[in-house]
Order: sequence, then C-alpha cells, then structure tokens
Amino acid sequence: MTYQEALDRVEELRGHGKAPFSIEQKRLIALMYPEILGKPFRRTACQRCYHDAVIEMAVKLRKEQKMREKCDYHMRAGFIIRCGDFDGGEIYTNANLTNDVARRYLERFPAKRVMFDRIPKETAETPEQATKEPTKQVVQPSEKKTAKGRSNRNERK
Amino acid sequence: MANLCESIIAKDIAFSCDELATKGLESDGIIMNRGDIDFAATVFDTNNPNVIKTLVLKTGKRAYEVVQAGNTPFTGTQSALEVGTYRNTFTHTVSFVVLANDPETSRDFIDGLANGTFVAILRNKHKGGNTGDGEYQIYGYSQGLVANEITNDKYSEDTDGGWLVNLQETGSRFSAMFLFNTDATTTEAAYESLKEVAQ
Repeated sequence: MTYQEALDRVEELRGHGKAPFSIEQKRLIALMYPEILGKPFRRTACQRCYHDAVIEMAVKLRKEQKMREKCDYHMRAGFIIRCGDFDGGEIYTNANLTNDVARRYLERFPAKRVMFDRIPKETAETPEQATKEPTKQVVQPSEKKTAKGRSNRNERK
Repeated sequence: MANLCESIIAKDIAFSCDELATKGLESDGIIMNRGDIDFAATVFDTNNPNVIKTLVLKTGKRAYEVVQAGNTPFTGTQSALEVGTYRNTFTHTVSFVVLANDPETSRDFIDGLANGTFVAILRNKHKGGNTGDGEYQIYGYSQGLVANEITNDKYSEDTDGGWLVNLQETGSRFSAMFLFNTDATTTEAAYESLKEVAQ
C-alpha cells in the first residue's frame, strides 16, 4: 500500500464520524494499523478502539509524510533504545525502529546485539566495534551487580 | 558472627497535598509466564531495590494483555502482610475476570493459568506524582503468582458466566515492586514493548 492510498483510506474512514464501523471497515482498520504504526492492532474493552485507531493512523501518516519503513531488526520484548549518547536520547521501540537507526546503534554499541532477536546477517560484529562501549547503556553491568547483591538496605539513599 | 539484615524505616510518614494517593487500577495490565523472563538481564534501580528499570523477556517470548471491563477493574487485587515464624513477608493477590468461555480460551489461557507461574504488571491510577514512578506495579517477580482460585459460575452476576481468576504470590519480601525507568514516557515505552514479539 502506498502512502497516498493509505492516506486516502484513512481520510475516508475519518469521514465516517462517530457512527459504528461495518465489519468490512473494521477488518480494513485491523489490516492497515500494523502496516502504518508497526504494532499489532488489539481490540480492547474500549468502546471506540476502532475510531481511536483511525485517528492514530491519520496522525502518524500526516506527521511522517510517508509509509513506515520495513525494519529488518527487532528487539526482544522489554528492550528499548534510550541512550543519552545516541540520537540525543530519542526513544526507539520496535514501533519506530528503522534499519538505519538499528545499524548505527549496533555499529556504535556492538555489545547490545543481545537486545535484538532479529538482526540481518550482514551486520557483522568486528573486534574493533566490540571495543566501543557506550558511556550510558540500557543495561548497566554495575546495576546488575548491585541488584544481585542488594540484601543490604543501607545501600539505599 | 551473626548475619543480621537490617529492617528499618527511613522516611517520614506524611502526605503531600500535590501527590495525594488515588485508589484503583486502570482497566488493562499484562501477564507473562515467569519462565519467559530473562532474569539475568533484569536491571534494578541502584537506589531502590523495589524498582525494576529494565524487565526483559527471553527471545521470542511476549507478555499478554489482560483487559477488564467495569468501573472497578481487577477487583480483589491486594497486598497483605504475612506473619512468619522468623521473618514476615507479603502476600500479593491479583484478581481478574475472563469474560469468555470457549474452547480457545480454555486451552490457551485457563488451562495454563491452572498450573503455571506468572508475573503480572498492573497500572495504578495513582501515578506517583510528577515522576510517574508509581504507575506500573509488578506482582509475582519474587516468588511467582500461582492460581489459588479459578471459578466458572454459570449464573454469576459478576462474571456473566465467564471465569473468575485469583492468582497469589506468597512469601515475597517486597511490599511492592514497580517498573520505572527514567521517566513516564520511557517507562510506558518499555511496558508496551513487553507485548511485542518478532513477526
């Protein structure tokens, strides 16, 4: 689906107003949502989850002005990228991760490959890359050490 | 030499007019199999062992959403002191209803709940002031939540013929554990990412 096709369909759905969507329209929303937002559409107990999804898609399309880039990288559940030394502390999740961002992040912090459960084969780790460690990481080894030996409550501030 | 762990209080008990506690839970939370958690990758807050900064699942695993209807979602969820012979601990209970009863629900959810061990994260309505560090409360990280009641009452007014589930964690040395990393936005992103799995 091209950007213009997606935008036209979303605008058409927005024109539906507050009236309930038909089964076909709901099916279309559930199909388009992951393609545009990069995360699965989940029906909840919310009465207006389909209407909310349409608004989300419209906002995303207008903001990005393009379709979401298919990403060949995927982080394990629970990991996000938020590092003060990388892209000014921008938060990256699987929903907004791109090949470019993931490639740059792993080039800079190769030890963070453990955060990913899907990496293209061409992203090879080299000894030179392995020596570059971030000053601020998502998982801090010192914190892990403290967590394991945290029986002493005097460590609290 | 005796090994005595200190158990002390270190904070005034007062309330802030700007951060008054609010009762209740939001209508959605997540539940995961305890065995799916990558404990080695868990990162605790260095200043507060009751706060987990990074909670990660093993490759290919994900957390599952639990969405509740009604004005008092997760009714019955609570924590209580459990007096022991040598050391007191906490019992945490997570209660929810499953408003469905079909073969898929039975196979994929109820049967698993009966004998599994779980960790749940529920969202407090009280967010914890400006930082938002009190929203995402973790149940079962210490000992695991196990089922102590799963009932399907066909004429129940509360469950509309669905399932009432009580999960309980006993012997936890933590009164409460929270998921919080840096700020509310980062924590929300981390929480949401637990629901995802590679496609």
